[in-house]
Amino acid sequence: MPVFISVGLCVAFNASAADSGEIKASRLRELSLEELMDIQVTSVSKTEESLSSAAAAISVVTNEDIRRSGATTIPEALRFVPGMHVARRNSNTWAVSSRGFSSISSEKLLVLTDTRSIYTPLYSGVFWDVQDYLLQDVDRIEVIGGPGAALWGSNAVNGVINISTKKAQDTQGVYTEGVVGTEEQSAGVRYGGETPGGISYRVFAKHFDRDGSYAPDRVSEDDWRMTHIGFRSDWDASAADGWTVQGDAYRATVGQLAPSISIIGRVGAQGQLESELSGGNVLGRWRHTISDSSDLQLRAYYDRTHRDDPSYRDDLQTVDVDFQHRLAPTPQQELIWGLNYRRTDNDNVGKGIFNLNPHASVDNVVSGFVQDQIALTDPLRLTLGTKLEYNDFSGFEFQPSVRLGWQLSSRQLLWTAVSRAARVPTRLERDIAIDITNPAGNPVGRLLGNDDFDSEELLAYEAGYRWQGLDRLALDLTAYHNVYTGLASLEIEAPFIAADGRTVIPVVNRNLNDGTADGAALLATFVVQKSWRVIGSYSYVNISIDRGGQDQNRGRFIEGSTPRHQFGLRSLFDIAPGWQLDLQLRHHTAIRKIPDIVTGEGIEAYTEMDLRGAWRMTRDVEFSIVGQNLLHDHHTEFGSVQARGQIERSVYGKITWGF
Amino acid sequence: MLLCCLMNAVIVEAAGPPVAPEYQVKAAFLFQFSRFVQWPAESFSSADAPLVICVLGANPFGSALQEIAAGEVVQAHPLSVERHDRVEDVADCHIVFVSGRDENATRQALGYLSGRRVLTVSDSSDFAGRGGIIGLVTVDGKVRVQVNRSSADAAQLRISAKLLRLADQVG
Repeated sequence: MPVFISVGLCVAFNASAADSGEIKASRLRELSLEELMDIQVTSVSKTEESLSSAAAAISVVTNEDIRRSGATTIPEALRFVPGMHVARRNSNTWAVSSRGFSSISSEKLLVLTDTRSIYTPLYSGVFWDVQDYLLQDVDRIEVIGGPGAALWGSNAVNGVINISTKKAQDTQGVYTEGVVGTEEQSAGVRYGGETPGGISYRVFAKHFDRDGSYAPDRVSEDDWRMTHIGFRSDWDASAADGWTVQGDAYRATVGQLAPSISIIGRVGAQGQLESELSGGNVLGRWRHTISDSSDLQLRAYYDRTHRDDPSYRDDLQTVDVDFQHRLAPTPQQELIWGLNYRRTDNDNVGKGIFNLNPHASVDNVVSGFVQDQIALTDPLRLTLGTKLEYNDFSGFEFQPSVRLGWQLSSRQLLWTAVSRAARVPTRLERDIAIDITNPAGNPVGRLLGNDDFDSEELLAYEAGYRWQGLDRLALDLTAYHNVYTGLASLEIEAPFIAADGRTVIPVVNRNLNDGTADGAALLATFVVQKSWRVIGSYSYVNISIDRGGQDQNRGRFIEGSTPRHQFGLRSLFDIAPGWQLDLQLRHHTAIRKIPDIVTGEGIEAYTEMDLRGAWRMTRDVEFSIVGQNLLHDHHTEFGSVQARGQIERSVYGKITWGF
Repeated sequence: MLLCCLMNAVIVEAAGPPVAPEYQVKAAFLFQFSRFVQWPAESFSSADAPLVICVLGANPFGSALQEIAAGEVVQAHPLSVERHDRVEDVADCHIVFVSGRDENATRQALGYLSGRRVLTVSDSSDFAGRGGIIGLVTVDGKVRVQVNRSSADAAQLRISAKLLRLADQVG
């Protein structure tokens, strides 16, 4: 039963230094060569080991999870993470949120790719349409539910998504893939090699072409295509020094069902709406090991994105420098501290309706963090941390957290945490200036940004329990009570006379709403037999907003935009050597309100199913067929009536060839 | 960015495919190799002399290798584990592991130990292709074994048919 032994083993490894790993060593020793070759190895440095009992709601989507899910995009790969809500509005936009607050611009989530932040300061959401990967080379996606602000910083309010690609050493050789399906075609190729000096590298290229969603009454279509190239190189210059340099560039054309900005009564962009998008980045990282318990890391990146949308043109350049140092001041402590500087240079020029004033802005964020993990007694571990940040939007932000992990036994961990996190204002909230009534009229209503709008704040109380029981069953349960203060509320304020002599009625964001979110998430993994795993997940959230201003809409929408219950079931079955049959089922209860000021009606509950069959013909060649959203011809998941398209049933065939 | 939770991550996914830290698994491989390789009798000073597993240069195993080898007896030889910095000091070891993170040690091992009665093992890239005897390579997160038979022959080591069948042969 080696498959289960290693499970116990990991937990034992985790338990504490006091176990000194005897169980793991003796059990690994009993495994045969074949069994050893079947183990998934994890590269865990000393840091990760001793920080293991850091108590938080963490889920990992592994490379295998992604492959067997049939997902071809990152949002689709996140669908079964407990506590998350993923809803596809149309072919190329998703609402991806953690612990409620679902919207296309979910701004309370921090998303990183190889430590590079990919949310936009424009509205603090992620443009998922340009987050493309050769998924074969994605190592893992870590999802941390709840505040991660003490370590990760602002915007890590309701969660952190951390996408890591594989090291170049692990992607050697040629790999090619091709996808042909009813909704998408794609082709990708990667080559990995090593220079004589021991520098590993890979280069890749990918192109996809995806069909639009089902929206027969619309004049504009939302089909989209992208070409993407990139590289990564890793060099272990010595036992103590490692270097990484990576970068990528893309160009995409993305269709829209409706203008991305629209105001009732004003004419927006018309005809076939298409955005031309491009971008690229380069990142360098140096890791230096001082000793088993101490190391440092210096990382810097430059990133630029360009969006030529029918409603605006947006250019963003980001420079980010990050330093971290880990040390063990005493044997019972592990201390990590770091400094970060980020400069964003954003220029957004509206076309027609949309307007930011000023249209260009350079903003700086300087932050430092310190976290100390202390082994209080053998099974008890306390983690204290805080981030102190200064940003040009809201000034100083102090984001501390206290976490306590209690290793009840080698198979059980109980943890609890209290954290404060802040969602910093966005450029939209600070700089927007849009006339929402006839711009020639007098008086004129105007949506205005304001410097007085402050961060939205969260105080989060969390607890969790993990249990590895009976070797075959693992449970991971998390519950949280979030208290929000100063949530945005759109307020009509006293009119003033503008420079042109007209009367302006300003509509501005104020921190007038408060609220609570109560939720729970459960993940249960059942190993039926070595070749068959069944994984169940359940998420619950109940949000209640106290409306402290005139804006009655916003609170209602937040309360209603995330399904109260989500159920997921996955079955991963190795039918025979080389043959896999995987199934996934999901059920979301109704979305009661959509975050759309105009209509705001809800969306019905739905159930959907995906199926995947795969045949590994030789060690190098695999064929698979994936059916997605098989239960309906098409169904609605999210979004306002104008902007949403229904998600169609689809089938694709995929061939991968790598050696 | 921060590494904090990788091990928790392992817990979360633990009931999935069997998962273990990389170098514990590789330590277990070294232990298995001691059982599937036959050294010439001259390699041992007596029938119950220890079978010595050495780590040359950087030690990525922590204490895992000692723990796995502790108390084990293979072909009447008790296992012992040593770590050395100089390649001259490992010439009498039976198995020598060099870490892929230590390119210097890798080059030394490939040069100095080639042709000696030493089973050289490494996770340096293309170690077996470069003349080492056994290379450990990670493919899709699983460890695969590469064997260079001509290097093994030159070292007068007999590798069991079972190991050869499971391994990829290179060189």
